[in-house]
Amino acid sequence: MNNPNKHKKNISKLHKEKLGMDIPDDFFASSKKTILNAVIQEEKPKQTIFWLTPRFAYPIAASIILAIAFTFWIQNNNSNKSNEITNTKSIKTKDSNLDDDFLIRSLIVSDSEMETYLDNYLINSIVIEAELSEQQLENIFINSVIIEDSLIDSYLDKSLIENIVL
Amino acid sequence: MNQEVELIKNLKNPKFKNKAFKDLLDLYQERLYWHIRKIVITHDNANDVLQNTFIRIFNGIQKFEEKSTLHTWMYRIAYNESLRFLEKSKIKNTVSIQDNSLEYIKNLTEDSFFNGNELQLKLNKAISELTVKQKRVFQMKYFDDLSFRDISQILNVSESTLKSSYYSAVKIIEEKILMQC
Repeated sequence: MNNPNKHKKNISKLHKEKLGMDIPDDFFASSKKTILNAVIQEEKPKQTIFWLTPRFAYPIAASIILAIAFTFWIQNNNSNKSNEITNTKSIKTKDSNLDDDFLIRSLIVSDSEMETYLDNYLINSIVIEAELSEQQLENIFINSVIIEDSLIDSYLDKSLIENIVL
Repeated sequence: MNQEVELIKNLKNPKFKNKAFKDLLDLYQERLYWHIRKIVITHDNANDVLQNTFIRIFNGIQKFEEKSTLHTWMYRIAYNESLRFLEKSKIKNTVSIQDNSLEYIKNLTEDSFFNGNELQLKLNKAISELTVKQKRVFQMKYFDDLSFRDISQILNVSESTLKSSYYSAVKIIEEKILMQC
């Protein structure tokens, strides 16, 4: 092994003389202090809050995980029950927007349920709407006829009076 | 050798570790500083790398398997730490002082702790123009006074390769300095 002390005395001088590299005064003393401080700080045991020590922390963490898991399980259980759609009435009561996206919903509803629903939908919506629109048309026609009659009547009345007067 | 064995024993003993580490600093701080300084060039960077090196030594001493000598192990840590630093600065600056002579000289002359004269600058310039392997072996042999065996362990290169790199480096430097005179 090389004796480090033998070379140490000349090493800074050698670098200064040959390479022109210098160092601040007392650099190695201050550097030694800095290194020792850094090392001691790293070695200091980390202060921990008593309830974060493994003795307390693990049971607490386990309880939290269990509580979260239990909550999820309950939620999942309830949603599974609510997802059991049996007829078209329940579809309508559960989701008022179902009419808009019944095709998407139909993917998770059985064919027989879908048929029942479509029947109801056709009767309730399309047939009734058709009837309503037919009635509206009739009303418009009757109204127009009545209006036209009254107009003719008034015209006739007026023209008769004028003719008579004239 | 006995001194080193004793030092390792104390460094691995938690009871004596801090005292042994102080002794280790006294023995090797200056040598490792200059080893690092020649790689990273500026004083401030060398100071940072030196601190990181000793922190690594302190934290890693328990893992030191004594397959090499303590000082070779420490030099290897210092060397790797310096290279890591250069890699980081290469990412930042896109140009590395390791393989760019102009960048090397620029860094050197901009350092407030460089006050070299014309001849010293010429030597620095000649060193900067060597290949990385030639540069490292020349610096470790000429300035750090390490044996070829130690350098071979630090750089993980065979001794014969190192010898030929060193002698060609010396030849190139002589030629370049003579040419510039």
